[in-house]
Amino acid sequence: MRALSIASTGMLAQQTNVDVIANNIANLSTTAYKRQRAEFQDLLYQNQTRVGTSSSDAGTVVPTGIQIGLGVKTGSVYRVHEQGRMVETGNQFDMAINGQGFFQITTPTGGTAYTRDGSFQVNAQGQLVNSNGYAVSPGITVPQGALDVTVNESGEVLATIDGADGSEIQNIGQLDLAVFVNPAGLEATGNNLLTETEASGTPITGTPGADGFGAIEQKFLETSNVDSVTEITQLIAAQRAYEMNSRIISTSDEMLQAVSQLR
Amino acid sequence: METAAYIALSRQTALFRQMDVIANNVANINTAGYKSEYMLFQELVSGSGAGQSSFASDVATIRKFDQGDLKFTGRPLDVALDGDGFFTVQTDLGPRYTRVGQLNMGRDGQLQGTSGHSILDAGGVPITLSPNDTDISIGEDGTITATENGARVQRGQIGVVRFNDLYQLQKTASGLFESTEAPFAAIPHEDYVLSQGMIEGSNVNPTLQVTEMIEVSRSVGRTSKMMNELHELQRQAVSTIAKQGQ
Repeated sequence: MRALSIASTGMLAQQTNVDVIANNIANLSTTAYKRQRAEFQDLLYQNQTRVGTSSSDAGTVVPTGIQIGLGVKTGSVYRVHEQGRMVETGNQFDMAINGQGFFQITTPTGGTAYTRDGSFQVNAQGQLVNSNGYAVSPGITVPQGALDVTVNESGEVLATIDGADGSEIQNIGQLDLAVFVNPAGLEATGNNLLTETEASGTPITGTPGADGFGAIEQKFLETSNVDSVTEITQLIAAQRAYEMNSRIISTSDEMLQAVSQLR
Repeated sequence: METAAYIALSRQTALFRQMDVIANNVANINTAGYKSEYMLFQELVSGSGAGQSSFASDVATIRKFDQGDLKFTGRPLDVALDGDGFFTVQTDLGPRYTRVGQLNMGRDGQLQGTSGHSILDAGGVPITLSPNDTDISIGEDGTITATENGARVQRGQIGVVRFNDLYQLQKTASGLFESTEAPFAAIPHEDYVLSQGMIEGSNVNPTLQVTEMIEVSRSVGRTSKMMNELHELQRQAVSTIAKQGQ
């Protein structure tokens, strides 16, 4: 009896669905978190009678066959790269991207990771780093004695330095953004970081604010794009679907019981 | 006498297959673009006159092609077909048809369906977008427009086809349909409406499925009871005849 295994695939799929929803809700206030969605696909079909099989010598054919599906599978869990809201923080090293693109971060292993979380800080050497202490690429070093740091929309980092003849403004570097053909294909590695994959395509770097690249908003952070109402609605739907599948299992069990009690 | 048992058996096996179909519908209650299926039964007559008996036989699974609920997602690459019609995707085995419009961009910028197959325009050519395209909008007629370097550019049009006889479509996995040859092949569809940022949900009706499930379960119970009674009848007949002979 296939109904038992079919219903179990249904329960497994709904479990994955609930897992994804739970992770979204857990990251409701994670900076620049992109909500994920589980997408389902039907499994293979078994043909008991094929469509178009001849049913007589006269050449008549079966108009519709018997196809029995074998359940459901999780096709993919993908990120929805919709812009989150902007919140003002007042912190001079907080940056948000308004539009497309990712900040580039050099990981301790020497690789490059991508993030939209722009809650940066300055380490002991004056380097601009993310909250894990990984340096932002291209590297920016804030000189000692800088009074104020300004980042404009096109990513230029300007420091106000107290000089001999009053304070002067110095350009200390340029922040670049990376865009991908398929940002949904990036792999999440935790700590708000994403890495390039076969599916994402290679990164294309450019100046913030240029065509196809987002602008940088200093003293702002991007919030998570999870909508709690949508998530709860989906959670309810997932739970009901799970219940229905378990109902199929218990009914199939009753049917088998009826058969096993034949004398 | 045995015929009655065999008739009951034919009903019983068909009921188990019907349960498989219901289970598949319920398993796909959240699958985008899924079309619910149901089993069609036929009376199979054998013999004539007083000796005539009819068996139950499942002849076909019929797919209901009525539209599933449209759900809002807000994702620019989600498109739902409002009304009839199918998208075409290119697979290694030839074109396949689907109602699932959750599109993605491949690494080369090609628009793909959920299983990674390229989605085709009306002329059977894949649609390619440029990496710095922003503000992608898909019109009601499937025309894709994007902003590249500050200018609005057209990126092609998603093709939509329809079929004269939907029941000739054969299901393959992952929401894809395969069509048989002419006269049932795909024909270009002229009168369709696409809505961007929406997906079509499954058209499985939970109430209907539960009702059908209860019905199947009760039928199995009744048929089993009948089989038991038949056996009992046979046993009694044998013992009565044996007593008569003594």
